[in-house]
Amino acid sequence: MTKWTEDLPNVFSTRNTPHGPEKIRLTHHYSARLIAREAKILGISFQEIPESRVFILEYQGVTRFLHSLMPSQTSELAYHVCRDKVATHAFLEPRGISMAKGFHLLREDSLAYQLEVFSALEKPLVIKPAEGKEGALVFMGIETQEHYLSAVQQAFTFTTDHLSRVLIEETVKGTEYRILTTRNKVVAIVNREPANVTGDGISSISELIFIKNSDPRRGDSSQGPMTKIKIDQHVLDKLTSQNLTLNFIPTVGTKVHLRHNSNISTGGDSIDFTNIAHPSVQEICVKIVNSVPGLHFCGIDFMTTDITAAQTMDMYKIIEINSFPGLDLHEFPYSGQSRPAARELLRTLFAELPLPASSSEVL
Amino acid sequence: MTTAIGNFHYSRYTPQGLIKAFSMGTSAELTLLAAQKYGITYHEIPGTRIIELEYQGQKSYFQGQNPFAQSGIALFATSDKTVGKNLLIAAGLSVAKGFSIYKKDPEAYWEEVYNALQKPIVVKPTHGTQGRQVYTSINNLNTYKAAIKDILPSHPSTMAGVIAEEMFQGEEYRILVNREAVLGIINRRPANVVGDGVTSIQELINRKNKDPRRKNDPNNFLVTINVDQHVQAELASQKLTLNSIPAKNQLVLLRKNSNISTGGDSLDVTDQAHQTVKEIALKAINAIPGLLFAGIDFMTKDITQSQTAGSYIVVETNESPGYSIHDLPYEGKNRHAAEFFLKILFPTLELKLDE
Repeated sequence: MTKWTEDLPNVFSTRNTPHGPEKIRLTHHYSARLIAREAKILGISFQEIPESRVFILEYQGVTRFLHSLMPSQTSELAYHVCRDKVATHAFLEPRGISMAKGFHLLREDSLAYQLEVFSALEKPLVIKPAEGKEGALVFMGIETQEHYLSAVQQAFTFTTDHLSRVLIEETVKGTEYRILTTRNKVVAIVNREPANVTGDGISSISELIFIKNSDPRRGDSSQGPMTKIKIDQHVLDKLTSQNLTLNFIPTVGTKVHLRHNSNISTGGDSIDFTNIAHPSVQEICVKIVNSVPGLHFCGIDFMTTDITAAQTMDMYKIIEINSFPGLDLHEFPYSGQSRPAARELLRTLFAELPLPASSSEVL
Repeated sequence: MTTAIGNFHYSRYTPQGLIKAFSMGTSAELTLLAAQKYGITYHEIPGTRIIELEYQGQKSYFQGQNPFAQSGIALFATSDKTVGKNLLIAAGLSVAKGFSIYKKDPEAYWEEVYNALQKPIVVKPTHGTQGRQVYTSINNLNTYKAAIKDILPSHPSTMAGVIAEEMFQGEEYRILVNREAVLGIINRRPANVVGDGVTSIQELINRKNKDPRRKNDPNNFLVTINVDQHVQAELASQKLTLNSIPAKNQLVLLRKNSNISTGGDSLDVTDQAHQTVKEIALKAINAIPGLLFAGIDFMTKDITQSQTAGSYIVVETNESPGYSIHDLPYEGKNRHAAEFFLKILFPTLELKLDE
């Protein structure tokens, strides 16, 4: 079986070294390749300004730029509001959007202030670097003051930057979805399920992981559309918290979760829910994009206790907005229908031009 | 009611509620004073340091020195100095010869870069600000490696790293531009004192720091000179101490770096610069997609002469330039940068500049 990404054009950044130019892999490698494929189909030229990761796209005499999956229409305000949780709150809450409660800690904050924040929030807490990514140094289920202080200290080790901050938030209940949204519509909804296995009544958890990892779509890189499940301390802790070990044999159809975090980069699954979600989810997401001036294309992390029901304020919470969302998890879901994420990004980039919404319209 | 410079604050959400938490910085304060002049209303969106302004029914936003009207790509392309530099190269401008080093590169590559460059060299973070962690005048491999080791862990991104480049000999300038015109040119002179033939360097520093415009705040438009190990080292390299008494009119530089934030002086030279300098600055801002307002760091052997490829370099473009130095220079004319900044936010605004 061939790997599903083999037909994608390859896209690299280049780098100038003393011994000549060298290729370097882009952080959003697969998403960039999906954009390159769509650009080629549509006759849009797509070229990097050397060693800049800034791509120039030209279509019918119109030039646009793309950097790290962010279209040039995205304003600095929108970029900042997505990156800074306090700003996200400030723009969404007045529009009646529900968000998790939390505070930022600065490096120079006193112990007294850290404890004040601890007391003011309902436990359990989630603690993470404010500028963090891919689930690094994220601490969940924090109940005690002792765990809180140690997690805060560890989260600050994310960088040595004196301006870095740590985010303390109340835990939100429900299932997390990534919703790719433009100013007009929802493009795709996936549930990112934490790394998991489903029992067959005969195989142990470690054998089930081995079987799941032999799926040719799962790669070793943490940046692919699907990633192999690595057994590390987080997996062992998660099993222990369920009174399980790697040798345990789950019954037929029993799903065992292996991590807290649902990142695809640590072996999570993306499952398409675009047609299953209640229309109120789409309304909320389009409202979010239109609440942030200069935001045109984003990935919304949406938690809800039931995606199929009409959403009420206490049912759902917005975790964050990503101004340069990955596209590959929508185009290559683990299960469900593929959605034209890269095409919609190009349609956003050249909004005034009539680009077709699907390839069948071109051919 | 008019608020004076130095009295504006940003707020912060705490469990106690919203509190006055952070001083604002002179550039933003000047912008708000200018907003008052033009009847533009404004307020901070609580807890965000984002200022929302409204003029004739239009809303616009800024934060610090950053006009939020411009494209987010401008921020990306300038906050990573490798990207910014390569966009300048693509536009045909002269930059210092150099290479980027990323976290995954082996020490052998560090050495390869070191050997390929003419000494002395400069080592700086790809994502640094305000001259932090910039190492200049590096002449040996050990100092070079120590500088890289200091910088690499300071930013989480895998694409964040170090730029090593040849050190250009010349004067350093900050050129403020929008996409159409040069608004002001400042010569940034490293923290310094001028001798009077009787006073010690320490006493000259104390005297200079008494200037009420200088504050012990790196975001202010003029900053006190704080004697630290860099100052001590710079004096030692000139065979001086804090007790030395410089001759009358002798200029003693106290640092290598010329940042205003570490006590440097801002000298307005807008009218002395050759026309070619202005052309280069305009080419530089137009090299960055979506950038509307920029501070160009520029070095040249002689700013009054026609610039050629070997006579200047563009060091970098800053998308969030402290522009108060152009309005309140240590020496020279007010260039009304804050009002031009407002015009970025509200393009229909007609400026009425005071003489």
